[in-house]
Amino acid sequence: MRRASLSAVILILATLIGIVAFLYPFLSPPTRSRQGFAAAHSADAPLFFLVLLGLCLAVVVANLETRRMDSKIVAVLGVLVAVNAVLRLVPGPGGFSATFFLPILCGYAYGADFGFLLGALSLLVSAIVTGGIGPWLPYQMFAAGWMGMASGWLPDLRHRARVEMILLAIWGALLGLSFGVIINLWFWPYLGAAGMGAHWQPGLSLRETLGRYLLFYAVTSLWWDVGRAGGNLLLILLFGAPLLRLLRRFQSRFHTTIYET
Amino acid sequence: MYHTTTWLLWLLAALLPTMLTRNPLYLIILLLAVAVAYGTIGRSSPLATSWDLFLRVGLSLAAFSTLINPLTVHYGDTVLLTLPHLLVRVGGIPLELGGRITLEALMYGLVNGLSLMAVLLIFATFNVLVDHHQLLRSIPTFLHQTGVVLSISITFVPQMMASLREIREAQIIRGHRFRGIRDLPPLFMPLLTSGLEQAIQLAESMEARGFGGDISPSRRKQGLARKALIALSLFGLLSGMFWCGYLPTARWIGIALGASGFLLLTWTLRSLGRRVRRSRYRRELWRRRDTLVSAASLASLALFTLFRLLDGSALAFSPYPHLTPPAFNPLIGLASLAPVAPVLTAPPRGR
Amino acid sequence: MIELRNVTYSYPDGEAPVLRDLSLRVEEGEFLLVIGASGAGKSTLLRCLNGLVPHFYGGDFRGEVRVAGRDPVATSPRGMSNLVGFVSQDPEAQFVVDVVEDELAFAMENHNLPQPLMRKRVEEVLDQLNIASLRSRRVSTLSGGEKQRVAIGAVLTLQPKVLVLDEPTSQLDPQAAEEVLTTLRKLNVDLGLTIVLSEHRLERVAQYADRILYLPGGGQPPLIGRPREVLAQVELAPPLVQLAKARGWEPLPLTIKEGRRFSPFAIRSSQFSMSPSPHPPVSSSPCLLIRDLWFSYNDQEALRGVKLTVRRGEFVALMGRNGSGKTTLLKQIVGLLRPQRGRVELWGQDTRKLGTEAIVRRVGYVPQNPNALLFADTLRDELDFTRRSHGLPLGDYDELLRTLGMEHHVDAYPRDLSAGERQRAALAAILVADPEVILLDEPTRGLDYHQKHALADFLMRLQDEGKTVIIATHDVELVARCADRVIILGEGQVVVDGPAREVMTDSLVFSSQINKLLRDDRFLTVEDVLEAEEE
Repeated sequence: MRRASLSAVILILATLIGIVAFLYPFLSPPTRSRQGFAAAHSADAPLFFLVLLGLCLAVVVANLETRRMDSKIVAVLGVLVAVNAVLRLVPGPGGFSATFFLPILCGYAYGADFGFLLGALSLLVSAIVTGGIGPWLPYQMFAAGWMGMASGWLPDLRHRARVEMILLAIWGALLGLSFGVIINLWFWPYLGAAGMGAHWQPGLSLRETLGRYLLFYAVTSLWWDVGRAGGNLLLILLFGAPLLRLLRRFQSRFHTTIYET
Repeated sequence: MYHTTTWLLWLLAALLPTMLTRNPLYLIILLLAVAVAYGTIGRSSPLATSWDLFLRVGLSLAAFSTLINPLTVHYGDTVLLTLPHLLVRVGGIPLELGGRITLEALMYGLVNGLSLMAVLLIFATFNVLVDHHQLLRSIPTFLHQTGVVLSISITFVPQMMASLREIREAQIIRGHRFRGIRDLPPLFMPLLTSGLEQAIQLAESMEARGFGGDISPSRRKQGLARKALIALSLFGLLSGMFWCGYLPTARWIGIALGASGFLLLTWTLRSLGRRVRRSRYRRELWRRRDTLVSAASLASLALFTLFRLLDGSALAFSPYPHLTPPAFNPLIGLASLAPVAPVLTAPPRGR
Repeated sequence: MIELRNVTYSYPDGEAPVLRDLSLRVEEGEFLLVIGASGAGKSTLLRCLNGLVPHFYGGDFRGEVRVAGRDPVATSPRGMSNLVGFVSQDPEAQFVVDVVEDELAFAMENHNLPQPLMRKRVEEVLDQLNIASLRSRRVSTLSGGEKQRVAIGAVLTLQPKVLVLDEPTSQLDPQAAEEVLTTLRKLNVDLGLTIVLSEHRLERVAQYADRILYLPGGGQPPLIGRPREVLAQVELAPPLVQLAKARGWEPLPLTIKEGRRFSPFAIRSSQFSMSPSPHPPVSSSPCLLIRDLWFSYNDQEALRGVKLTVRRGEFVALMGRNGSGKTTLLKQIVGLLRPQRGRVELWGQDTRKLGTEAIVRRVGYVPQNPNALLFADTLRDELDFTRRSHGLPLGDYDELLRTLGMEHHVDAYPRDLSAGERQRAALAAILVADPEVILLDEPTRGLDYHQKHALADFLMRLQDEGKTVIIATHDVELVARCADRVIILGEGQVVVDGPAREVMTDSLVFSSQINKLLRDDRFLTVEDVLEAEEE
């Protein structure tokens, strides 16, 4: 029990650091508003937070590794990550991507840890395979990992199939939307927030920064994220049920019970 | 062509200036150096198409940045034109659109766009030039199980693509048509099922080859202690960050907190890695040209860091309140050229 | 080297034990062949030798196993890995790293061997298996036979004393299978490695084995002994052995060479002159016409000027080496690919003008891998899906499933079925749309003798119903049993086209065992000989 609660603490702390890294453009308090040190510093923040985020990812994954992983888990995870990376290539309108519903459903069926790894590693592999490694990668990995992980915290509703599907579909849509809000933050510092530090415009408060981000978000990516959210909703409604059946069918094969004789 | 470490250093050396300077001259030099590196040694890579994609994304983001800044920021002396004033509310927050369009704000947006573009092209070039398989193998030992997961999935991706093609053909014969995501299940379900079936065989094969026996089982207490240490160090990092952010007095305490968290973390991760009793087969060759390129990268890194610490104004550039031409220091200009080093020491073509 | 004492084992969800009170001794350097129908426990037995059973699968294990003095049940598969090398059947599913050389090193890395030793062993294994040319290839670019040899190499680097292989050639074509088996033979002879192999291509391995273990399944006691002794008592046997048994030849011949000693005296071929013709005469209307068909993938030419006419009710076999264009030709017929030059006509209509839907309503194609099709929860859903996709009303599938012997499985999850049953389920999923022309690509891959026979009988029944059947296969025995006409493709061209008997008698490679033995175009199968004798 203590092991599990410590893991939870680590996850929460890493997540908090992640949130700070995600949100630091908005957290700049007014006291830093004078030109000079703070102003000059905010410019190297993106690199710093990029590295920090990468480190946090490594820590969370390493924490999951402190326990020895079963060869079955490693193999299944590897294969599912490959499947998911292939799914990412399925074309669709807007930000539609078939790569998110599998971590959500696997997180729900196989647990938060599995979901986190599946989500985060899928994006890494697909970036490696397609040559898409970029400054957004740690953000994407964290966000997709959270999606899988948070799905593992949902209550098990397998006895109420209809409710389960509707709940998961709505859940998927919500996660799809928030994914976009989060990952777009990677280049925000270059556009708006860096401006906040390097040129201090009197009166530009946290609220206004947030406002600018929301405008920027609405202009650049809202429709994109609606596509993603709708995609998740549809995919889960359409084949969440058979997929969950499949995952549960295999679940028993991943666990072994040796009868003592 | 080069050692993975060489490329990682190259990436770092190229990225740092984009963070430290907003001087458009250095950014342009950097951009050119990166583009030359791609154009001479990167274009033959199988992933070269991804570079064009990065370029397109970069151009559109830069254009967006150039336009949005003058529309929302009305600071600066040189007014280019005055647009009708528009006050919008986004999420209940008032925001000024239009109004005074200043040259300074435009310039500022342009410089931001330039640095964003540089970041994208640096990553694009890194993607094209680095050997991804080697990159994967240089994963630290404390993550070695994750490394195996990644290695498996990279191995399975081509197989899954072939599988998907086969499944699509088989379902077409059964009268299935792919018109939209509604028709995805007959394609996706066999893929996933075969994948899971193969995973079980793969696990067998791994187990039969001794996988999983390479981590010394730690005692319960040890495991708990490690977790506690990780948690503690993360807490240190987090509190350090908050201290620096919110308590501007005695920043050094914040920095010390963060740094000690970081050190503790590295130590714990190292000790996690030491549990893994596993040897490595592959050793990459470190050639003389790796030494040369790495030296160039390190020199550039050192130079930028020194200027940043000793003379911040040498790197800074702000168009506000009145646009002035950016200063140019030849030494920094030279350091910005560092990303071109791999081209100079690359072996002649045809090898 | 290996000793099993009273081993009884059942899987966690299985009611009856798969292995019952099994005892066995294998000497050092022995080559043991394990045979038996599918489901008889071959795989289970092999997995006992390195502890995968019970460690990986769970379940109830009793009895004692010793391999080179070590107990796999106590040691676990990981501990056994440097003593027992294990290779399974699917060449696609055993690779962890994507470059051959690193894959070979994976096991050694797990055992924390020092780097110089690893280098040395990798070089040795590359030479032993003759795969040095593959060392820096990506595994996804390897052929099936190469993959299996790399998989064998990947366990040999730990220098095990025993090599255990579970149907390593079942997913391979004959040439690739031959490569793998020769490699094993060499390891056994040159290095004295103990080999335990399960296999259903007896005609290729029976001669190499020192002993055969026959597992009848269903709780019957196993049979073990010299190949001749065991094969004499077992129903499951290659055609040559079947003929020899029917004729009472002693000692039982295992190869054509050994068979020759008996053949001249045994068959008084002059006694009969009528060649048996089991199939009705073919009607004259052509349903498929191919004229000067050319096709290439990127810049690789796959078909080069194929000309072909197939009439209604014919049973045609397409044969030829890998990459000779068999599968491409089938895909052309069913409209998955369209001609680049020349034309393919179905019932007088050019396929370039027909939509794929119009073609697949009348032409059915069963791909090599049944797993590419099956995805529904029950076999019934699977058949419903085909009917629905074709816009046909749903129906009652009892009759179709009964002829396939699958009526008990209508509510089963198709993926839980055995390889033979899956193949038939895939066949049912295509046939349920009632196509007039049926194309099959390698339909016997992974099937044992019984399953092959059942499939051949079923295909002949289809032909009797007036369907046209075209199979692309390497399986000469299947062709000998049911095809009327054989077309041999080479380099994308039709090399030979003629009646099955003539073509097979003329050929050295594409000829059945009985035909190779007797070299007489009246005799392709054991039945041909026996029926002729009765007359």
